[in-house]
Amino acid sequence: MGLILLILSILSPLLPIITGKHNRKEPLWMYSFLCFTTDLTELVLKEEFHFNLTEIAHITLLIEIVSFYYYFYKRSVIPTRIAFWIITSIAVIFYILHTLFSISWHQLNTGGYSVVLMSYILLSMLGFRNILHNQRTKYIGTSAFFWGNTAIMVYACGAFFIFLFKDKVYSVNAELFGQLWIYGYLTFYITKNLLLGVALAKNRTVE
Amino acid sequence: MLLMALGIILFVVMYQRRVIQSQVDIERVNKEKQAELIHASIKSEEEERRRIAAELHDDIGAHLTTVRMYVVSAMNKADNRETLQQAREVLDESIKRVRELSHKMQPGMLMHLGLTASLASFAKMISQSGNLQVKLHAIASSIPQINETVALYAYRIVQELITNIIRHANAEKVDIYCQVQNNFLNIDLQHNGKGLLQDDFEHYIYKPGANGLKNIVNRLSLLHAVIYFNLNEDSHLYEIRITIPLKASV
Repeated sequence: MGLILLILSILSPLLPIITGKHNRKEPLWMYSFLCFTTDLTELVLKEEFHFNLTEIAHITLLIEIVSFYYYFYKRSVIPTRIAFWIITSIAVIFYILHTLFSISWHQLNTGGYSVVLMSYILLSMLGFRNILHNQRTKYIGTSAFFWGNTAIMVYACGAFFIFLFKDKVYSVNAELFGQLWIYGYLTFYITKNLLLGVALAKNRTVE
Repeated sequence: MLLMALGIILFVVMYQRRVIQSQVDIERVNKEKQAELIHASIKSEEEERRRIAAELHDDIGAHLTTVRMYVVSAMNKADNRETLQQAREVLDESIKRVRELSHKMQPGMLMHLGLTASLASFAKMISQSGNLQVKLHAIASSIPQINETVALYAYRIVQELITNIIRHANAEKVDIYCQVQNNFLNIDLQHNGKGLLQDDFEHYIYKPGANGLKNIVNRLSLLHAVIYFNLNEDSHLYEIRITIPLKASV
């Protein structure tokens, strides 16, 4: 079961890549493409060459931050270009500094990522507020932004506590953490990609 | 945290649905109110016409007829017969015009003999006036008895269209075709003047002063009917088609 989830998690970004292939400039498409390529790369490098891939994970996370913030900026959740640059710079600098000075560049910064996930949750809530405020679409299921927002919120809420308490759980029971990672985190990761696939499919008609 | 996320998403979906539903309800109520207002306006206009028609016929028409009688009586006795003869001719013409006006305002046949008979009578009246030759092509027996209000509105629409053709189109003849097909009353007008196309009609109805066209549009909306203007390239005749659903309630 764990292996199946792992394989699904690697292949799941393919769905948004395929459904959003007509709109490759969309930040969510670029993010999904990045996820797929890094997951594959990590698998190959880890299995074949036994590389420590934490550095790749850090870079992936930083690109994810920029992609998601840019998505929220394009959807007017972050209202101005200056606000986008300020918020993104703060998040990126915070993550880099927290990783360098609190943890290490060679270790996963789960605490710092939890804070980033919290920002995703806040931006998603603002996104839902915008949807209700603007009332642009009659049937909310047809709104690409609704699905994109839902994907990010479900993923961020699901992964938040896993990352926040990762060190504590791992130190108490490493096996339990392993189970949590496989059945918890990967499930939210796959769900996120499925919902992003729906969002990019709906995105064919520009909102 | 996940439950909170699901709760928020559910709230957004339910709230959006409620808001949209209330917007749809408000739009529906507004449309109904608008239709009611138009209906009330047309109804009061028809009542006023009925009143004026009755007064024209009963009051002025009767007076003119009496005056005519006096003139005829005076002609039998007086020396100045020529003057009285002219007076009688003018009176005859006035009585005829009052009758025509009364008929135009309230077609008496409509209630008793139906739409086809009223249209035939109207066509005859216009043709006799010399302005335009109007011919109705309809078999009365093939058209079922339709709702009185629908018939009246359809009659008014045709009346208004013919009036506009006389005023603006410089046509020599108009053919009116009337038939019922698949529960729709189809009235086609064809004339050899200079007519409107659909784009022209949709442009003119928004112009200030185009009250006749606006009246047509109001009546069409109450009947849930459609109108289409076209130029037949083969016959070079301008065509106007009115399609009225017979099941529509007014």
